Amino acid sequence: MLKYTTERILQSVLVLVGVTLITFILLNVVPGDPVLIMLDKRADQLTIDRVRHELGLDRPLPVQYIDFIKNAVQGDLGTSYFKNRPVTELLTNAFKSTAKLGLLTLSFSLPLSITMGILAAVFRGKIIDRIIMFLAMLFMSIPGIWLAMVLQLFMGVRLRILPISGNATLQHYILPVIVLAIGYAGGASRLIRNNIIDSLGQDYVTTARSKGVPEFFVVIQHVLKNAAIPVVTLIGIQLRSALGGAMIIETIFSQHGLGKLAIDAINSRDLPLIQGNVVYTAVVFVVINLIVDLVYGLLDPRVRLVEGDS
Amino acid sequence: MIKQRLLEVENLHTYFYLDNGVLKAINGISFGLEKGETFALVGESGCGKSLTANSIMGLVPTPGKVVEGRILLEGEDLLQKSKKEMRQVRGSRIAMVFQEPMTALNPVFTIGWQIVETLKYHQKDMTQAQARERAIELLDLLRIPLPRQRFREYPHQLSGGMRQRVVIAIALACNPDLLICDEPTTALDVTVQAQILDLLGELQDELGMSIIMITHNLGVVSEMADRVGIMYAGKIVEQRATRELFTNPHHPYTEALLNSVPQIVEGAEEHELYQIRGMVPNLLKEHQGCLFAPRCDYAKRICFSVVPKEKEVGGGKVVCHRYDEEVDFDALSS
Amino acid sequence: MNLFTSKQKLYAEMGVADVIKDTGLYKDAWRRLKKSPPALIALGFIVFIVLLALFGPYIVPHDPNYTDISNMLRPPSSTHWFGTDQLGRDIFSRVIVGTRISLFIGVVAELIALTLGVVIGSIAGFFGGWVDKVISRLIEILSSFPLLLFALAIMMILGPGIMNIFIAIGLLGWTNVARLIRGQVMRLKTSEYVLAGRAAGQGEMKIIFKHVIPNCMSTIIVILTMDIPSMIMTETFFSFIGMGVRPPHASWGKMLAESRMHMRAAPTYSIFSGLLLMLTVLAFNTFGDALRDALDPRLKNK
Repeated sequence: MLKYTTERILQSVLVLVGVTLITFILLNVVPGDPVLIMLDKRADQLTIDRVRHELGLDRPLPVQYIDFIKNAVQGDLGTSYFKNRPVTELLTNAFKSTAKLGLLTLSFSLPLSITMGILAAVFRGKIIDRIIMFLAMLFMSIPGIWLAMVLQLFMGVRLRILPISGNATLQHYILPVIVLAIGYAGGASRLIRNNIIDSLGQDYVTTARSKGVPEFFVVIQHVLKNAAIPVVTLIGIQLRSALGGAMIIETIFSQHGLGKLAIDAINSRDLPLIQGNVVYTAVVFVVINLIVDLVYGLLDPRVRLVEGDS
Repeated sequence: MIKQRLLEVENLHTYFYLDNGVLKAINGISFGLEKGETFALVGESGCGKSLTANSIMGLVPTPGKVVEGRILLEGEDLLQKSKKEMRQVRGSRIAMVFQEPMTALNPVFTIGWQIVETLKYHQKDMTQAQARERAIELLDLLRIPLPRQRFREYPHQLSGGMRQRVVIAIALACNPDLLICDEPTTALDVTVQAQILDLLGELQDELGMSIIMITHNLGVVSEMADRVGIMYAGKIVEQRATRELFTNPHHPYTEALLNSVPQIVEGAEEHELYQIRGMVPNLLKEHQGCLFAPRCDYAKRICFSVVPKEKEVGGGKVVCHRYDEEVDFDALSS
Repeated sequence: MNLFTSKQKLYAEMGVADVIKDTGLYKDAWRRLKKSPPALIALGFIVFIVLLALFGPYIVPHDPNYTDISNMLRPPSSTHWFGTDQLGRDIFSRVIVGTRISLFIGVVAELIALTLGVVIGSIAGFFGGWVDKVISRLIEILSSFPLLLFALAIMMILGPGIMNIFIAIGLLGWTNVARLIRGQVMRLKTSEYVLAGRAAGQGEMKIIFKHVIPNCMSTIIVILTMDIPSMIMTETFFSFIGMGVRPPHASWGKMLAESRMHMRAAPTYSIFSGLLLMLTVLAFNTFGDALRDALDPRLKNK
């Protein structure tokens, strides 16, 4: 297990380096000099050069990059051009909102999809299965933007029972969570159902049945542990999605999370903020991937025994 | 007073209800098994032999269904039992060993856990520690080296031969009366095959259990079986004692099967390999007459129109017009 | 009977000619598809949408760009079935015209991603070794980027406009395809027919094209069908935040964005703007799903 863990950690670091490098390169290719945008159009060349020097934008790129990494590792991601606050501070605040949204969403969508998936799998072929799968397909296909707006219309505007923008109180989270959870539950329940059915077709299930194991335990013990493996991957994907900030939903519901921050940053060409956002999101991705892989190793003994005996 | 046999299969019909028709996979078979006896069920792929095992175990997969017949285990009809009762039979009175050892075990549980599982459901008054010891005892019985260590290992750490021994250990855990082996050695190396078969034979003597051996390998039959049933297209076309079958086959299919075995004798290189012409019939379609007729060297016109009846001949049974005393076969037109 | 006997003669001699004639991966798949009403309905809708995209602009009841401020934000009526937007334009016509853009972008972007993905994925899977390692690292790095963020960044660099949307979406979309194809190719690499091809002396490239890729066909078809809706959604998102097509072109995303500002005054504006989008996505997903089940040789109900 140890060797496996170390390998995965090293890989993660490599990926992080790759991501930051590419982002850095990309953003420095951007047309539209941020300095010019920041300052008044009438500013003279001297001021422009001075500001540029202050921001350290006149140094060679590799130096800028190394500096960036040095600072980033210490938690300093620079200062936002337009909001005049440290990027890290902005990200942390936004993260709180996004994290709340994400975790609330998953705490609804996961139990929902697991229940739907198991029910559909156990009653495969019957009416329940068809209904659940149709619902799942519907959930998966409804565009978030549209559903959000429709819900806002009916719940917020017409019936006036739920708030539709901002994130002051817990109530404000109800609609966004519904929209997000529906989308997640759709895909997840299909995957869970299919994995359980696949596992049910495996030989070891026949062996278990021939031993006289009751069907209930065949599913709960034998199948679930095997079927859980791809589901863990899916949960990882959904976690990443949720914690990375659902841009669309946050914009529609005017929640001040990472997604909205990202869009604002891009619209105003706020380089440090964009960079910081990408780095942060990449770190989240990588950390979650790592955790997923480690859980994988715990669940599936074949993966961790890279150099098994025999 | 007829002594009750351990297992009595009477007129079993198992059909598959598919999108494009009904597949009569098992179309009326009957056979029986005494205590301590080994009965081999032989046939080509697709003749229904594995399905017979599944039918006895009550594990016929949808869209299949047992539609007719009785399966009597010491007088009790298994087909009449409830699901719960069948679960109690499976693993404790009848156990099964499968063809593919590489996939028969659950990859995420240890070997020990999987053996103990059987004990957990059938020997409820065993403690965890007793079950553990019993499992290690079984691994030892199956000649698996370092059983205590193996107990904690996972299936993928074992070779195919070892895994098959584990599967057998699981099957024997509760001392079943009947062990059904579905091509247990087909997926193994030849040398390992011999070891496993020897082991099975010894264990059978020790434990006094009956074995149904499903195989397409006549060599295995001659080694292990007391009696043989030859299956073709869902019917048992001949059954009799092994030695008689090999020396005096009755059914044309049996003859053909025996002829197909290549001989390593003087002058053999001058003979072409014998091949049964034609192909296995499509069981989705309705057929007239004997299903083997299109491939039979002896077939006459009656064979294509009338289904032959099962007759007792020479200490065994045959399903062929040639042995039907009501039919003067030789006089018939082709 | 020798190696040159044609398949047909072989089947005839074995007496199974009539059975074989009725089978074949795609024939079987089509037969299974025909049995599923949802799949057929979805397929019908997709055909309808494609026709709408192709011919819609010619049969709209009103000019989608004709503005009439005096007529703005009207509810649905007999002349304007979906009502009018904030500039008095007919929503119904705009929705139809928007179909062309959404579908076009969705399909083209997907084809770009698909081509890239299949080529890169099969190279990685087939050749293995360091080629595979490098490509896999690349895929991993690229997929660690939040898709939308990255695409937005690219759009920011290139500016809005259709071509750039393609590039942005395609540039990241290929990673999923590549991963799937790589996995399949790796499995096929050790299959018997590849070994047979090698034994017969066929060159590597020939093996890839003759044996490996046709066997990935069903995967490719399914990927294609199920990715298109997400491409369309991505385009919708871009238009929604203003990075998509330029006015006065109608795009579902743009219409949704504009309708947001008038939610109280014209509630149906939002609903109708997204209606066709939702149905299209639903249709593609349903059909893609049924297609995947139909092409899978293993039976679904065990």
